[in-house]
Amino acid sequence: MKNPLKKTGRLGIVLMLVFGLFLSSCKKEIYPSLKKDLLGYQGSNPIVQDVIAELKKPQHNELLRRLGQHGSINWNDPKILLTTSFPDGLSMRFYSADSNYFDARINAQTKAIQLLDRTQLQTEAAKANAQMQQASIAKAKQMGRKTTSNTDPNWPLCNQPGAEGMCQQTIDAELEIRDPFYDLDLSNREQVYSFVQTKLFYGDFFAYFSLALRNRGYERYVYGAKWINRREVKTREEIIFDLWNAYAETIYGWNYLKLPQTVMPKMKILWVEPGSTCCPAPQKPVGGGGGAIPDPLSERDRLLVERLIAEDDAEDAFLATKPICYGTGRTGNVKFNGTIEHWLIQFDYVTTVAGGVREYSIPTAGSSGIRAGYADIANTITGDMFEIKSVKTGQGAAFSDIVNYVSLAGRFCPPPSSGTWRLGMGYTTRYLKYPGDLGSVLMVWSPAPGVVLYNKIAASNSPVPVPVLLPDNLAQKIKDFIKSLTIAPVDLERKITQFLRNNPDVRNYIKAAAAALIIATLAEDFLTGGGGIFNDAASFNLARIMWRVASTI
Amino acid sequence: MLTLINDKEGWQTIFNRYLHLEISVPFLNCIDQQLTQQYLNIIDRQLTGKERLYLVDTLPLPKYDNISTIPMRIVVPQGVIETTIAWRSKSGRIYHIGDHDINCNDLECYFADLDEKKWRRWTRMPDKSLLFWDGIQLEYTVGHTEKDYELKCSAYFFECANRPISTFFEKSTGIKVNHNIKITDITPPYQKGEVSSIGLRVYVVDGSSPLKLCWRSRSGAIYTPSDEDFDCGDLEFWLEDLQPAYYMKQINLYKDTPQLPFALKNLNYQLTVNLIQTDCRMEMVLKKGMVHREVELLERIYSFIDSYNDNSEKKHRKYGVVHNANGYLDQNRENLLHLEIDIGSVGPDFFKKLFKLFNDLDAFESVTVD
Repeated sequence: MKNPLKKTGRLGIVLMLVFGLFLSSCKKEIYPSLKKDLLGYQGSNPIVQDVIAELKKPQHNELLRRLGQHGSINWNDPKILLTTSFPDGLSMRFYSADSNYFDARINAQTKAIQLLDRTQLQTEAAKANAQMQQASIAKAKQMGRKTTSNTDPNWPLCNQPGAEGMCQQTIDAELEIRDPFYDLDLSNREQVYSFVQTKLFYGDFFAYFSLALRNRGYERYVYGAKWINRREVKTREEIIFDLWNAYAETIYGWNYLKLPQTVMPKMKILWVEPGSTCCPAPQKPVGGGGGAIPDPLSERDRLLVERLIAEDDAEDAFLATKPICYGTGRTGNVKFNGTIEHWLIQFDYVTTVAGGVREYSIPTAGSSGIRAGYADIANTITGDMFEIKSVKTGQGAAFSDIVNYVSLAGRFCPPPSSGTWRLGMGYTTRYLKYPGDLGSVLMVWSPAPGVVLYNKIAASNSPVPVPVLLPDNLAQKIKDFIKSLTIAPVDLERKITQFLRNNPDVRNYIKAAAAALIIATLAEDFLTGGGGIFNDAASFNLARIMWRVASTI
Repeated sequence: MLTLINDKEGWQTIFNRYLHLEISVPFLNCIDQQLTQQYLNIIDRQLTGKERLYLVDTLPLPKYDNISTIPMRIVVPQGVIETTIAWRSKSGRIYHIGDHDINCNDLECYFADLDEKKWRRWTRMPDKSLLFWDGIQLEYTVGHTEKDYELKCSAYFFECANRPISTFFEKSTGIKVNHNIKITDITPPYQKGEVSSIGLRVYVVDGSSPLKLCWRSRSGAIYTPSDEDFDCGDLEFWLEDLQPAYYMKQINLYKDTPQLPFALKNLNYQLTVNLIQTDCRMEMVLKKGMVHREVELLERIYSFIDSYNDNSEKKHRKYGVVHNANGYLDQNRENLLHLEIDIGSVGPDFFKKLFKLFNDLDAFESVTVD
């Protein structure tokens, strides 16, 4: 008779062996996906390669383990955030699938790479904050507190009944130390030198904003999103006040604000494509010495570039949310009769009138009565809407369209800053250079609210001096430059800023000229078969960025 | 059969999604039937398919009372007319739009505040004519002539002139009037006399030139451009200063320029692409057996445009978007369908797909784009 216990014992041993094998295999592959991804990197970005090499070193096993618990890094994902909050060089933030991340800090001088996971970064930040607080408290004890009263009649909140308390402020000395903007006067246009309430919004309550601030030798560009009930009519100052409060409440607000200007040149936010040569990498030491990251832009230009990128990124991100109503500053093709005229008129408006967007989508205004129709121009600040037609098509057709759009926008779209969508008013007659036809001018006017008509007229019939294209030598510079950009269309804002800084003659001409001139210059080249550069949305976007940069610097 | 509310499902979606109100199919059927009949009685001609009722105003919620109302706009081929839809009942019951137990014999629905005379005038304007086949355009132009030149004009006077001068233009120049040929302005000088005249500007394709509109009366009475409600038959109209050679030059401007970078083979209809403009117009001759199926055909086309836009929106408008489109039957030919597309920012790819859709529909003898 067989011993049943003996059989059970054998089975137990087998099970233990299998379990042991399982455990050992788990131990070996504790972060399998991450390792696999590391080996799978196909790009040629030297910084990413250096980070991978560093990450493979045994001392980072713990970091890899922690990351492996949460997800894997897709090293071939083109979107890796390059964010140098690290003052001595670059800091790249690598996100894993579940938004876990680690930072790789590359010292510009020594090329040493330091890897920090999220927990380490948070601990570091908390430690720095605690140190600062302790120092602040010590300093505050010396300085005490003071109460100020803001009686500025220009500050609207102070003039409202019952709001007097808001105008008395107790300044905590601690704040003075932590925040160089503690005494920022939000109603001072010198200090808040740019306020852009971008045309992006969602539903009734969303507004994207950007502020450029200057105070006590510090300069900071602030951008982000704030939920605002757009049905409320608010003054510029009131909105800034709201935004500032929202901003100051955020950790990022404090962190950015406390940085002294001297380290600001190291700050930038860029999307980096692995393998791209677009982005500055630590210089190879020459003759044994270290090299700084080359960057020929001035501090002010850098802020401008940062702002333009932020605006574009925000617009891209916003478009990705598929809002119910929105417009864009970009465009499609230039192929058909009437398209270039629409472009010139829209470009001229979008670049010269604050709040202007083109191709504004309006629910149920489309052909089926269910999906969206699109107004040619909308202004998210004033609420003006315009439909563009050739004089031949007629204002009647334009009026039918725009009445429909305004009615339905009033019903379904978030209201503009002014509170109400309306048939567009106040469009002044313009005479734009007609690309491809030296003897003609594009006359653009608004014969009725909401309607913009255009007509090609003989230059000799123009009641105002005929706008001329850029002088040949300047135009050629722009065309050559834009051709070079179309080969490597990355880092556009920076390149364009640099180009305009290096070519003040071009910059001054664009600043003084009509907005549509630059696009007409490019379109001229396309229409006359010159270089064929103006044949897609990218060129329009380039022209738009160039105009924005030229009119700012 | 064409009615004013063809897409009842669409109405339900809109009311539900944006007003959070239910509007029932029995209610829609009942008001559609009565409003369409009232409209047909006023215009005394068939619907073209372009007529459509849609919501307006910022708060178009229905007001319920003995006479309930909701503001609307009605699109007609000649423009947009503001109106209000009102309804009441014989029994005294106050019907709500979401009610399902509708007794259509009890419910009376009608356009309130309508200007019958204007509706009738507008809807009888010829489809292709020199002077403003769009009623709103006519009213605006007349208004601006007074504002800009202090020349008081009446819409009625120019409506009288429209047909005769369009015929005169065609006979004198040999050029058929279409939407690429249009009078856009009324200008000085105005000369009053036995033979009176006033300046016009005619726009042909891409260029405009001056013209003179002349008239005299058979009765000997002297009419001014501001006169109204006279017998049109008493006046004889003609044009002077016509420039046929210049018009032909304009018409042939794009003759040798290919409009699309592709050619489609083996289409089951004859495709002619003369000119693609941002305000693109198509004339589509229906095959036998397809007459009276225009509603279904247009819905397929609109649905295609919606899908095209949706697809492009998903990719940040990568392929551009069509801004709008309107199709309608010709007022005089029941086998001729007009399609107007504001092509917005789309490129040739849109047309390639659209022409393929036309092929799939297998409904057209020919399609002409100009």
